[in-house]
Amino acid sequence: MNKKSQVVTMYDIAAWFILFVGVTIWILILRFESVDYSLHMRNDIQALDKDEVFISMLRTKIGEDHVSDLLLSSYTREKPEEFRDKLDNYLKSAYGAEVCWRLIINKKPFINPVCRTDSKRNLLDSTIYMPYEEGAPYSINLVIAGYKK
Amino acid sequence: MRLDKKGSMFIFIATILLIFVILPIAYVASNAKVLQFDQKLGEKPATLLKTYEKGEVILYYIDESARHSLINSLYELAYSGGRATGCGSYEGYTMWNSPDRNCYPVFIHTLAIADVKNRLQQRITAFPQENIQMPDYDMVLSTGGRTELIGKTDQKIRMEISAGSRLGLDTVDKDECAGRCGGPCGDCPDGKDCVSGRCVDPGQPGQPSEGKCGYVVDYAKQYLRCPYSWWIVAILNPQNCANPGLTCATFVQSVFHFTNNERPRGNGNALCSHSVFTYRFKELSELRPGDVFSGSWGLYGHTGMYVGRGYVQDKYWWSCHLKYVPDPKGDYVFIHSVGNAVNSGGVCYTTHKEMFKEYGGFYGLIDFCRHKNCV
Repeated sequence: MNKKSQVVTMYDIAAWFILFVGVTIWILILRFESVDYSLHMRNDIQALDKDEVFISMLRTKIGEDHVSDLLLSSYTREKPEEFRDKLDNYLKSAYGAEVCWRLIINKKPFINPVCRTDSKRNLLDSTIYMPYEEGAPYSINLVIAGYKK
Repeated sequence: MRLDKKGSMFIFIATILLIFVILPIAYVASNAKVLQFDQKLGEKPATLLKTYEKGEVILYYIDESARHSLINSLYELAYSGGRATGCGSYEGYTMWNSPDRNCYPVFIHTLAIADVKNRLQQRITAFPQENIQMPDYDMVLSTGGRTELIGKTDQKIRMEISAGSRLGLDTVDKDECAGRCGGPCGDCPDGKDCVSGRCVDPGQPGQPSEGKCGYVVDYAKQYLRCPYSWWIVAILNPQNCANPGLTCATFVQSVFHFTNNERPRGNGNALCSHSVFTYRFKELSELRPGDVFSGSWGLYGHTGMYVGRGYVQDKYWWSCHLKYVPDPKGDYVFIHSVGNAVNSGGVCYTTHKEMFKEYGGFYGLIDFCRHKNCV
C-alpha cells in the first residue's frame, strides 16, 4: 500500500465516522423531543379522569348516606375508624382487590392505614373541595397508592 | 471501486455538508411549519377534556353548596323557631306571640329560601380554585313528600376552553322559544304539535280546548306544576309562578287577568259570587271548558276551572294528577291549585269524583259559574 492510497483511506474512514456520529446525534435529538412530548401527553391523559372518579365515589351511597356525608360525619365526630372500614370495603369492591389508600383533610392526614404496595404510580390522587360550612371549604384529598401487597 | 483523492474529498465534504448544513436546515424548516400551529397534535382534545373535568368539579361544588345550605338553613330555622317577625326573641329563640299579637312563622318557605341564597352565596364565593360569581337563582322550596330545593337561572357559568380555564358569568337572553312555537319560534321539534303557541305531545294536554273559552283553559294549562302558596296572594303569569306560588283563588284570578283583563275577586267559596260571572248553575252536564267552581271547605273554600271530559294520569299528590287525556265519555276534569301549609302541592288536574263531596270527593259544591265573556 503506497502513501497515496493511505491518504484516500483516511478520508474514507473520516467521512464514514462523521456520517455515523452525525446521524446518531440527529436521531437522538429527534427521538428525545418525540419521547418527551409523548410522555407529557400520556401523563395529561392519565390524570384526566381522576377528579371525576373521586366525585363519583363521593356521590355513591353506602346504605342510606352518600360517601361525602359519611365522611363529614366521621370527620366532625373525630371517628375515622367508622369511615375507614366503609371506604375500605367500597374501594375493595370498586377496584376488585384491596388497595392502599390514605385520606387527607385540610392538608392533615385523617386516615392513613399502614399498607404496602409495589406500585410506583398512584392509581388515584385527587383533591376535591367540599362546602360543608360557610367559611373555607374542606379540602379532601384521596390518594390510592396501588394494590395491597 | 477505489476512488482517487479528489473523489474521496468530495465524499468527505458532502458528508460534512449533510450533517452540519442540510440536516439542520431541514430541521429548522420542519419546525418552522410546526410552529405555525398554536397547539401540537392532541393538545386541544386534552385541553377540552381538562376543561370539562374542571367544570364537573365546579358543578359538584355548587350542587353540594346548595344541598348543605338547605340543610343548614332548615336546621337553623327549626332550631330558632323561624325568623323574628315582630314579636321579638327570647335568648336567641324567636317568639311566636306576644301579649297583644301572634307572629307565627307562616312565611317559612320564603324565609328558608332567602337564608339558603345567603348561605349559598357565601359558599360559592369561598371556592378556592376559581372566582365563581353566583348566578341569580329563582328558588322554589318544596316540602311535599321529600324536601327539595329547585333553583333556576337564565345565567350561565362560562368556562374558557384553555389551559387556564378562566371562569366567567354570562347573562344570556332568556330562551323565549323554549317549549314555544309559531311566529319567530318556528315549528316544534320532535314531532310535537304547536297549540296556542306552545309545543305539546300529540293527543296530550295542550290540544286546543273546545268552546268559546277554550283559550282560557289552554292558558290555564300553562300553569301546570306551578307550586301552591297557601298564604301569599299574587297575580302571576305561568312563567313567573314559581315564587311564591298560587292559592286556588289567585290561580283562577291570574288566568282571567291575563286572558280577559277582567278578573274575579274573592276567596274560593265566594269567587262565583263575583260580578264577572253572570251565569251560575249546579249541573255537571252544563259545564263548558273555562267554567269555574266555588267549593266549601274551611274558612276560605276552594276553587278551580273546568277543563273538559276525559281521564287523569300521573298522580303525584293527594288527588293531584299531572296529565289529562281528553275523552268525551270520561270524567269531568278540573284544573286547580291545591296544597296546604305543610305540603306545597301545586297546579294539577282532578276529576269531579275526587273533587266534590256530592260525587264522593272532598269539597262541597257551592256553584259552577261562567265568565261573562264566555257566555
